[in-house]
Amino acid sequence: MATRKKVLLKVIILGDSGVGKTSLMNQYVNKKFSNQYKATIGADFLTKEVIVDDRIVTMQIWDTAGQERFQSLGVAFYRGADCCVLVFDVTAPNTFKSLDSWRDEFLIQASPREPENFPFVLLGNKVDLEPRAISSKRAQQWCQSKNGIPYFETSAKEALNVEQAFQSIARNALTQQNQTVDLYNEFPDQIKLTNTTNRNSNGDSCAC
Amino acid sequence: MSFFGFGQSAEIDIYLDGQDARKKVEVKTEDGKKELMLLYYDGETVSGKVNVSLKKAGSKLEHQGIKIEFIGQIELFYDRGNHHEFTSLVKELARPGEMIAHTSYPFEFSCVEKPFEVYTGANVKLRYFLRVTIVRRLADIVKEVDIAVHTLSSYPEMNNSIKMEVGIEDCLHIEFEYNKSKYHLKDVIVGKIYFLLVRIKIKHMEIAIIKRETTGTGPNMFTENETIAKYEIMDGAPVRGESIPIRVFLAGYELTPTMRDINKKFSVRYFLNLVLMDTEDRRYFKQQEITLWRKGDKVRKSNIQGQQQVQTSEDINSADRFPQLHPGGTDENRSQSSKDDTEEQGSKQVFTEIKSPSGDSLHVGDPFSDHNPDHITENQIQHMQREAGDGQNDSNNEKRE
Amino acid sequence: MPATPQQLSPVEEQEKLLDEALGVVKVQAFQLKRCLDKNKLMDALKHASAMLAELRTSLLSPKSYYELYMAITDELRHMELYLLDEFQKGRKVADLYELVQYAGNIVPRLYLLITVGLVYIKSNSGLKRDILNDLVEMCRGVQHPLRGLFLRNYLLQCTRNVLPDIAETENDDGDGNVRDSINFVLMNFAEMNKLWVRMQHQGHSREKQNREKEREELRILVGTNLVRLSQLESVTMEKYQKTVLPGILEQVVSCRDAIAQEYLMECIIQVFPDEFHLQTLNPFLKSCAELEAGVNVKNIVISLMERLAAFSQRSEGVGDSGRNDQGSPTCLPPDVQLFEVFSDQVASIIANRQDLPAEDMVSLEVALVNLAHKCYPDRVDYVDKVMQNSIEVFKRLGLEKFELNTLVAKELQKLLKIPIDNYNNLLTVLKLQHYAPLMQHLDYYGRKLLSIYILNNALDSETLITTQEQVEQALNLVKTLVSDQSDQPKGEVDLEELAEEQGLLARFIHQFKSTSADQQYLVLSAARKILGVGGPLRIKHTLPPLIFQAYQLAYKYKDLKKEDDMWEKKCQKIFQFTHSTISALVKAELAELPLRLFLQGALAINQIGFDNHETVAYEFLSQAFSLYEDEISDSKAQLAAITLIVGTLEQISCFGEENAEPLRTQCALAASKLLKKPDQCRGVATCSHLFWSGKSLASNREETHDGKRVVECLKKGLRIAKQCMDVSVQVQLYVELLNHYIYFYEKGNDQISVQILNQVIGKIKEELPNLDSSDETDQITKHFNNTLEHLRSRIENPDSDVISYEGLEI
Repeated sequence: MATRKKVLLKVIILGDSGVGKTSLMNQYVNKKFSNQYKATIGADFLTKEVIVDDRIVTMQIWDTAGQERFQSLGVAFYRGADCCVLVFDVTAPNTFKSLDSWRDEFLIQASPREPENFPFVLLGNKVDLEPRAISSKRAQQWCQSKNGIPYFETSAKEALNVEQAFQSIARNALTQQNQTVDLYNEFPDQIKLTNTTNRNSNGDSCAC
Repeated sequence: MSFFGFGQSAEIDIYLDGQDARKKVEVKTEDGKKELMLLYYDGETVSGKVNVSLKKAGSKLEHQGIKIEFIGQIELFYDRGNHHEFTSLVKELARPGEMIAHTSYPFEFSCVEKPFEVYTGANVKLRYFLRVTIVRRLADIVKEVDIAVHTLSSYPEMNNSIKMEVGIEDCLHIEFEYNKSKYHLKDVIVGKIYFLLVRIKIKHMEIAIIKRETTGTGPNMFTENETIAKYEIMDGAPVRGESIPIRVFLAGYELTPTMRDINKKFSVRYFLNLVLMDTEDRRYFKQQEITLWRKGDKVRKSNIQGQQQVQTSEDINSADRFPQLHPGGTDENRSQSSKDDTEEQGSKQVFTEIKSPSGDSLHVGDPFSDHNPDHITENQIQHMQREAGDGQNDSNNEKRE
Repeated sequence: MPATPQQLSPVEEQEKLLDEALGVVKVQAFQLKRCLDKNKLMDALKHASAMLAELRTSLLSPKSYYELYMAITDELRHMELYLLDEFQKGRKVADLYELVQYAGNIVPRLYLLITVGLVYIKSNSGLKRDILNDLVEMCRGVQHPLRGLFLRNYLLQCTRNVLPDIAETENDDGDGNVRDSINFVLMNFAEMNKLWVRMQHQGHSREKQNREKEREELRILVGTNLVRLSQLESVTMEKYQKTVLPGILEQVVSCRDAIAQEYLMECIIQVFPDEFHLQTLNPFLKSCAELEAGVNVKNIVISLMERLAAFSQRSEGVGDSGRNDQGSPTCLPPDVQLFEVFSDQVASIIANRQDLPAEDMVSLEVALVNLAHKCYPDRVDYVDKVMQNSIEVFKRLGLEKFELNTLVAKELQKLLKIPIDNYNNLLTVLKLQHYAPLMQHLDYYGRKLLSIYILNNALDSETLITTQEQVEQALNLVKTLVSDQSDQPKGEVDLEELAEEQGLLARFIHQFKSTSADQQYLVLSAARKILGVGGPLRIKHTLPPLIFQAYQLAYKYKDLKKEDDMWEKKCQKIFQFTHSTISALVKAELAELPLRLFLQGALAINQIGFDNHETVAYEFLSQAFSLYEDEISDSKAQLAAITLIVGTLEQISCFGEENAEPLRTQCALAASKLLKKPDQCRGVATCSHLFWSGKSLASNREETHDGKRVVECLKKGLRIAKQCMDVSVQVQLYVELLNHYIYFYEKGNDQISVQILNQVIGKIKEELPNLDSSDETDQITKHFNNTLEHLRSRIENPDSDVISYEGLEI
């Protein structure tokens, strides 16, 4: 193998308004946090290079508006995502209740090839705040009911678990992308650069 | 012996001094192919050796003398029999006699005047070549070698920008500006279009580079227009007050320096044609002549950065070229562009500028009248041409013209 | 055979076009990636350009175009990544920026230029300033609104990470500083806004609606510019104040387009932090006043107020910030008079916008109240001021009453509910002097609805009304429920609805509770005065709770007798109060209710036992009797009433024999005079208890145990039963009487013997088989059998020596 193909991972962050999607992304990409609240309108991404299993991949992290009225053009940017990050605020029960609809909406709009196996990661943010409304157990139960989604409790403010969470997100996204490589089979004159026999063994390499 | 001598033949090979080191350029031939030739400039000495080798060893070659000529010639395709030589220099290499073995003759045309640049156009060809002739009683042995000549110009002393306000009354008024009137072949045209009045629905705007080749005189005059490049500079309909930037890199196109009345035989001139198309496919255009000139590479030697640019630009010429150097990425475009060409030819006689009788009234009540007032007083407002896409344009403007 | 082409719907048409375009993108993108893998840059650019040519279409709707744009820009990022890698490896692609400019079509050309420009900047930051300027300038070439907006959005997206974000003083070379970023984004913003606004004026006027819909969809692209500005960290408060906001506002105001203005103002509010807004309220609000007539300024101002209100609450929640002396949250800068600023602003909007509908004015006041409540929860005067302003506005506009379900009325309801919901304390609401007058602007139904709302809230929050004054104010507030109103519609009253409303009011009356007894008396008197005029239909519901409250108060005085030597007098007064109150009900032609209230009163009097209580109790009972005699005519009601009277009398022990005897006799007499025989029988049987367990002063408040009179009653019962024509009823009465006999026998009445029991049982046994079989018969049989069962168990398990069932024949 000469040069390995460039890997670009597309990750979408979803969740209710005010749960800290932008803060999480800023903490992860820029190592910065601000208490100031600025609503996100539309969708925007930042990129970051990460190393996953000795491979350098570029992660493109899409931050989205939690309020529907700020998505006037629809959610075309869901398409082609390799991983979807769901975020809720552990002190706000409503944001936890919305998770199902965010997940469903994503699956409908992004229409991934195998919806049941599409990787999600759940982040319970703002663990630095009191009082807590959603217990760790309750969040984990939800994850269990959804085919074992990885769960992380984070604090964008205190940079707690953010790095670990995104590392897991990157890994899940990479696994997803490896599995959809056969998209190229649609073209007859394809030249395979990757060793296809490895593909299946990649499936369970996500240990998180 | 002479019986055998009759059958002797020779091969002529012209070797030019320093030919391995000399720069070669592509020159278009009549059949559209390109040929690599050694490049000379005006006043450069053309020297070398003529090697004559006999085909049959051991027998003699009898000749009436050997000469080498340096010829610059113009060939008009409608009159192929007549070649007009504007330069013809002769050097005798050998007096009449016999040649026994392979012989080498040095020659030199020192500081040859090469006033024109080689050119192959639609109706005319200008070439330089060396011709060696072994004069014989029955059939001369001749060998010709073409060379390329580029004419270099120094920076023009005067190089004003082209700035003009043009329009069709109460319909479209624009002001355009090209930063220079004279561009060298690797130059960039920078400019802008400023919309003063827009009452038509414009679809897009483009700049075309048109080459006009004129040959012959009187009844034998031929004019050929060729669209060298079509370059979209605006998509959609602007409103008044918009200013649209223009930036066209010339290096990528096949251009020659402007040639005016070359030896009274032909001219090659270049025009920038600004074309606006409205939603009903009517075209509005304004042609403006620009002068192209060739800049010497040597001048830039001191500037490393500049040289790099030139070299890379040369690469572009030879490289597998970018698809849209010439417009028409899709079939639709291609057919359209050919249609445009014919239209342009059909309308060539109306390219003249007409002074607007109501030039001053344009500015009355115009909120943009304070925009660059200096030149407005200097420049006349000129009429653009409007062409009907559907043949239905019989507006007053058109009638008056 | 030419197939007739099927007519596609516009949606299908869009899908088809989009699918085709996406198909081309897919093919070209695949080729693009392959060429990149093989390091064939020229070919790759060729495919990129072919792919981008799809964006030249004019056929797609904004949403479809967005999908196409997303698909294409996703692919461009692969190329960007490759180029960046090549640049970093040191590959000489210096002329790439020039090379891509040979693309003949402007749209693909500019997308490529931006992509390459970005790579350039990333690998040589010294070119940043120049390239950013060049890109934003070159994009002018696309004047088509849809394509231009997306192109510039791409520019904005691509440059996100590279916009210089360092302070102005730090860097003035090619790398640029925040000043360059601001200029860049403001320029792009202005151009995008122009394109967006221009859409409004292009095309046919009949497509206006569709065009506005498309504009609404595209607005997000324009707003992203503001997001970008808000993301610049080097934009300090000062910079925002001096450069950024004025730049934005100038564009917003000068574009003179209502849709753009409304959206962009909202955008400013949302994307910039609260801290900035607090310092720029005046310029922002000033611009609001300069917006086009069609702009819903109300929404903008409300949005800002809501945001700041939420901010002040959120900051409270963080904990470390408290409140300063003025009662305003410390997160608000001391020099910012938030309420005053907005109050003035609202006033000026209302004054200057002639076309502003009244409901919008009220919505503004609603937002103002919310702001006041959230930022200054202690400042009741602020809320009151808003109420006052509203009244004045209505007055100025000559607006009197708003009919239910009009928009104004709805907004006004909202406004009036805020203090109720926020304070959850009616007493605080009562402090708002302008609340009740403002409420008068609602029509009768509106006021009634709000009154119900107020009462429910008071009940839920268990607000206690403790003073006379509060009673007056509270009842004044809900006066639609208390008495007839002048604007009340005439006609049939829905009794069920009325009962429900009055039920609420009655429950509310139970919350009239003073801490001191004397005060409580005043409270009740005040309430009595107001409620008394409610009319027969209302007082039926509202006076009883007052009476019960009064009885409770009397008990309270009894408890206080050691502390208050006046207690007996006060009790007398209370019972006078209740007597007159009950009499009011009597006057309202009610009978059963006052009868019961008199009886209840008699019981209370008996227990409290103040001076002269016997007379008062006798008066109450006699009132009950006269109501029985004069007002109750229905036989069933009569039986029920006499049963109640008997029951009450049986409980009362305060009478001397001279009062007790006539009352008992009167009861027995009344019972025997009932209209129907079975009623007579049952009434008389009930009366028997008066002579057994009834108490009086004569019996030293002990049970009378007059066995003879008991048996006389029961015998009379038997006689009456015998007279019944219906055998089934006869037997039923016998069974009931048997039970009475057994009861008294077991209580030890020596006038009753086993023989008597046997006789009654025998009589029943004789008659029972003759009854026709029916449900009634079954029931009687069952009752009888149960009774016998009881007797049997007594025989088998005698629990005392006194009572013996020997000789009983079952």
